[in-house]
Amino acid sequence: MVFSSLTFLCLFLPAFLLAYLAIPKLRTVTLVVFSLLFYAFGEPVWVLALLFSSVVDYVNGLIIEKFPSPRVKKLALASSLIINLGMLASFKYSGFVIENINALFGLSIAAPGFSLPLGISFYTFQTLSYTIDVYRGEIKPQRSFLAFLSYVTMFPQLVAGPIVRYADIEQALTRRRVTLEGFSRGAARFAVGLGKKVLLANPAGEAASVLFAGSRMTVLGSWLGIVFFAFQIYFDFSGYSDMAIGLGGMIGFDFKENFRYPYTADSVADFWRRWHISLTTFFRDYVYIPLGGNRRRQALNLVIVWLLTGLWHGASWNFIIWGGYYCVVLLAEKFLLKSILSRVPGVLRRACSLFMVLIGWAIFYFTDISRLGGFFISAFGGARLYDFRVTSVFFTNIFLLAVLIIASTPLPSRLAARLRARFPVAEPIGIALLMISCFTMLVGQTYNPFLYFRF
Amino acid sequence: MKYVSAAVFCAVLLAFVVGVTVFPRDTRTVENENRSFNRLPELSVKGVLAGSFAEGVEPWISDRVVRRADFISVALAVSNGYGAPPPSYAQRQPGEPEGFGRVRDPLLVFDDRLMRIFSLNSHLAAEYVAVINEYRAALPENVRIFSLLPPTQIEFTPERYRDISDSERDAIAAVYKSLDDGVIPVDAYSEIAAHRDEYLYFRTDHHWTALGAYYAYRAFSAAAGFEPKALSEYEETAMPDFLGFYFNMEPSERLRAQPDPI
Repeated sequence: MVFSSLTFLCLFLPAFLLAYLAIPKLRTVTLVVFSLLFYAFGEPVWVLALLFSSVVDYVNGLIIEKFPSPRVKKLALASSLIINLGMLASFKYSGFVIENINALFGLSIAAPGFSLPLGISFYTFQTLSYTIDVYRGEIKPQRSFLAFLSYVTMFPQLVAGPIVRYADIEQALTRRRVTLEGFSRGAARFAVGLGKKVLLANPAGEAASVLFAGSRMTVLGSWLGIVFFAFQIYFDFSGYSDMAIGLGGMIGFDFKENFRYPYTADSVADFWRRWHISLTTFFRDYVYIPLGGNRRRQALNLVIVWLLTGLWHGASWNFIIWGGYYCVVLLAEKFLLKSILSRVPGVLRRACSLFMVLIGWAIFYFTDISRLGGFFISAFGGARLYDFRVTSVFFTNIFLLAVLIIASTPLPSRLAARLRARFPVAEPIGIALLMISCFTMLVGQTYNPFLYFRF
Repeated sequence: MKYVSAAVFCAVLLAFVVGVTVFPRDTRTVENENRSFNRLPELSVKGVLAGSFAEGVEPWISDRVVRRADFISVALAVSNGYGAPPPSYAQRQPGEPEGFGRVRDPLLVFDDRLMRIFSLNSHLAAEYVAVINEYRAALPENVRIFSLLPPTQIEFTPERYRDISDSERDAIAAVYKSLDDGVIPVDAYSEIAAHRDEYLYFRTDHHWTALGAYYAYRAFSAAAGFEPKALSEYEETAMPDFLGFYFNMEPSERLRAQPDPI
């Protein structure tokens, strides 16, 4: 199930909130039951994998605490790592690995036809972070399996993050308070996230796909396509994070921010401090720093972390190239360009950073390497400048484009805050307007005529 | 004000619940989309585990939305409001398509007509040629074989729209060239092009009008060597209110209000 669907808005969420708010004593049970239903709705069989991963790390956490012997602790940690990463690798990367082995050695081993269970990249990382933190003595393990299960499975963050650290919500798992303040703020946040997804990300995505659907690429078409994709992925992902944070706020959880206006970044390094923050901090705390961080072999550590980051995003060579690309750019920024960058005016720095990010998105978008090559050829002059497809998409989305640009900055948020301060009634009106317009657009997307040729 | 925000949010959710449960379904869905209402799939263990039950929930709910057709119209109007016509649209002459031409593959969508963007499928063209040549080889000489490939509406739109479409004229010429010498190609293109400003194509369908067919008939008669009947010799009848195949793909109130007569 996705948040931006009629099923979620008209059935699931109302039912959940009713049950959750009406019976305060059973809140955690309600949360777990509905979360498992939410997950099973999209993944009726592999909900078992989710439960399995939860049991493994719940048990390992307790073992690490209970047994004083360092060997036992290490064993528990190792089993958690092997099982979680093993699950992730099998489901996500087995096909990719086998394809490459076949290509390399001329074999034809049958690739296992696993479809990737929903959210596995998120929840395996989440349970891993728990076990590692218990091992490091940073947190005490959770004794109640129900509470632990609620940590792993709670539906606001289960399928698309943010990756929530146990320490951040430990208190709230067993002792949370649902307040009117938290609920209203969460509701407003949810409405904004829904709006970003339905009103901004979806049309941006459509524009991008029309631009890339033509049999002929053009220079401007390539760039405009990637610009729309860049907006799509930002508003989609940050909108989803907003909805997650909003829902969490409504039920008494305080999740950390996952995005901080990444397209206003000053440098590529800055971009990565603003984009998918929960993932980058995960890699920093659990891979980069243990490897030595910036104290020894910094360059090598960065290469490892970035290749893994790329690989996490998908089992395809373009994602690995994407990770490698950012590694190179970040190393260059850090070691070669530091002095140049500090002397360049802010506007130019931001423009350059955006340009590098756009190229990154192009690598990210084209999973087919030949199409990726085709993109770069046409983007850098190997095609005509533009055609009617570009004109049509640009002009039919010109207002949208303006809104997308403005909405990527803190400006609308500041204006909304000022408006709310002067006219408090603006908030409920805004919530209602957003929810109703998103509902309308979602219904519009269900238009499904039966087409058949009549001769 | 936090009370009001929370209350409004809950009220909206309640409205959603009511909107998909209490009211009867919108019968316009059946008319407009040429299908029956989506039913909730049968709740069986097999269905649930295969995911087919879950997949069927969203279509079922969406058909239950009260006054669904109105929401769809509003959504369409909003989608169309994301932009404005390009400056070149000011050069539009009367008779040219209205509206600024949205690319919604496989169609090119104007305010007053819809047409398909042509994309040459060389594979299919080669198959076509191969089959016809086979027939020519298999049939005796006295059986004449003609090939008539007509252009579609997009060939006759203003130049500025056509660079997204492959040239049908070139494609037709290439196919005719590959045909066996014993196959007689019919140049319907020139005849239709000569009358391009007339009402030759439907506004919302992939078919040509009877008039368009007539001009192709004239071209055919020239290739076949007989005198065509004059247009005036035919009796004219009209069936009004035709909304064609493309209309289902890209409906709009404007197009609905301007149906074609057959």
